[in-house]
Amino acid sequence: MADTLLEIKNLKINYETDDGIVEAVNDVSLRLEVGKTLGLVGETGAGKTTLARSLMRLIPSPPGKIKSGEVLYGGKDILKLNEHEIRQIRGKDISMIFQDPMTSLNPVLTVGEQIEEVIQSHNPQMKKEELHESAGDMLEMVGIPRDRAGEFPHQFSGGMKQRVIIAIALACNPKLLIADEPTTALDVTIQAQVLDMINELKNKLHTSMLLITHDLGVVAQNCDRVAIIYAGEIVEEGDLHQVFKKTAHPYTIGLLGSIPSLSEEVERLNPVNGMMPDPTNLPKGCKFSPRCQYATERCKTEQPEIRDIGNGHLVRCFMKEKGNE
Amino acid sequence: MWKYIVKRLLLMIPILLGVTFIVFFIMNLTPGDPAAIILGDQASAEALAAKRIELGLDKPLIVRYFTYIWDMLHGDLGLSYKNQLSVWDQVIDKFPNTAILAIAGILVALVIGIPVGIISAKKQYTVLDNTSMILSLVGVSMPNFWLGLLLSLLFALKLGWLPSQGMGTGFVALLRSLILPALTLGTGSAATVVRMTRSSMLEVIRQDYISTARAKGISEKQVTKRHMLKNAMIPIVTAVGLQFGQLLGGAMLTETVFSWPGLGRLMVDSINSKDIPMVMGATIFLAIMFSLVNLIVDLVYSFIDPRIRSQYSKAGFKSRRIKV
Repeated sequence: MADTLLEIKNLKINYETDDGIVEAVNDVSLRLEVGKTLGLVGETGAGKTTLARSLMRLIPSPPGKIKSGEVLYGGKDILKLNEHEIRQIRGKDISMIFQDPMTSLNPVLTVGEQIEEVIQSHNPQMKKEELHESAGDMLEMVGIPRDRAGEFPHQFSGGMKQRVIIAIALACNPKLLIADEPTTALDVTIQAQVLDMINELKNKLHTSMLLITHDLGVVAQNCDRVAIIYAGEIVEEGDLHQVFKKTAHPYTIGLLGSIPSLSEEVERLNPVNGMMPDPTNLPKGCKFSPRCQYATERCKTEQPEIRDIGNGHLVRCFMKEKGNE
Repeated sequence: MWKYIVKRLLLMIPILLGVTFIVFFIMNLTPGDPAAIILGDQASAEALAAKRIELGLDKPLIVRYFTYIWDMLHGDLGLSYKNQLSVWDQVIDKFPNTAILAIAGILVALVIGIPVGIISAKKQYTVLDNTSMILSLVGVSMPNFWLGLLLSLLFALKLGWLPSQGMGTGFVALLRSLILPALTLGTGSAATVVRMTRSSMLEVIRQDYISTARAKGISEKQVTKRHMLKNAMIPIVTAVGLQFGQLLGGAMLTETVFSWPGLGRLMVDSINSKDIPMVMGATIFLAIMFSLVNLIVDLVYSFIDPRIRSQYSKAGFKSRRIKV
């Protein structure tokens, strides 16, 4: 097993709103290995982005509140660092690519300035010309001519903006890159380009990655391990082969079943029936039980634990308990 | 950019025509005979008639209007009915006093308004935010003259710290006499600026690029200054510009309360004595100032926001950053 870069232990995050408490992330434990890519898959509202932001302590508070748990990075709990210490980590050790490139760049600063800013904040001794130079290098690395550094975000296309954001994220050579649906807002041809670029740079710079997506195809192409998240809980986790070929959780089965196949003739797709439960009013027992075609009485009253069903393949379902198989 | 400025300056012509039209007819249609006001109650009917002919009041209103416009286009705003002095000279004589007061007032508004607005937005819904929102509501609602009276009552009459009347000569005396009127004038504007700063900061504060900025590991101060404030600036500049324009023109009450020898008081006096050329001249002058302030505000936009800048310059995608 490779070395651990970052470990999340029993993380629990709530949003405390006037309408009630939203349990956005509930008892999540994950481990990221050096140089590897972990995919985090789930529907909209499953808690993916909240989980990702908590790793950099970027959850808006209020209303967001980290209730319990640990995020261990380099032997330290990120959640316990003070403001100064966390700033040393942000952008340098861990950096993030956000969902929507259209809104993630500051419209009134040039792209060059925005890249220089992150370099400068972690290399305060650097001179202006050096900053200029390295910002230009970063732009070239993501395939943008360096003389466009003086231009503003509105002069770039969506795909180009995402490249700029990638350049910002990788400017200080981070150990962990969190990519929060980096391609959702882009059209399909650009999606492939951007993902290829992220992968190439990640391998070149030996960066680990947490790739958040709701696209299982993206996971299959880019990840080493996958975690499926549903209503704030990890329901299944394993390497690609385990999750895609030995799928164990009914939700994952449903997700895979809802992908249209190119090779088989299918009359209708099999979507996962129903909707995500209201996050302020989660069902008792297994959160997925109202939508699960295998649900029993026990599922509706008792919360299943996540357990290893062999070789690090983790599943949160009573069906996979010993004796039930 | 120059093309834009020239266009805007040309646009001022119809605005000024509209202003002169409205003010001219309002002034002339209100009751009261300027000749009688000039000559007094004792004047004979013949003297009054002669005076009317001298002032051109015997001609139809529409003819008088076009005569006025014609003279105005030749740079002649006429003579005051009251003292037969050039209207232009008197306006120019009083304007600096009003400008000093307006600048002092807007400084008060900026110094209070922007920091309080920023803090209010960053600490939304806390005690601090609620307090400043209530205070700014009071500030907006408080009539200027009333606040002015209260301030002079306290600081001039009760405590005797500051003068309450007139404009001091010499730097220190000027500053001392400026404090109360500037506070009076600035408070209302400060309240407006607070509310505008807060709401425009709140729009920016949850934007994605703020998360991007925080994720870079830069300090919160930098995030606030470079990323939030710079983006929130446009509505703030608009509000400040409008307030400044209002302060230039609307200082009448404050100038009256504090006997400040400015344009506002000149206008009040002229309106009372139905000195039509004087009121017209001062109004046109203020309208020009107001339009210029607005033009400057619009030009400031382009320094703040590159998207507006590229619209102005029409150079499209190739425009490079203008060094500010």
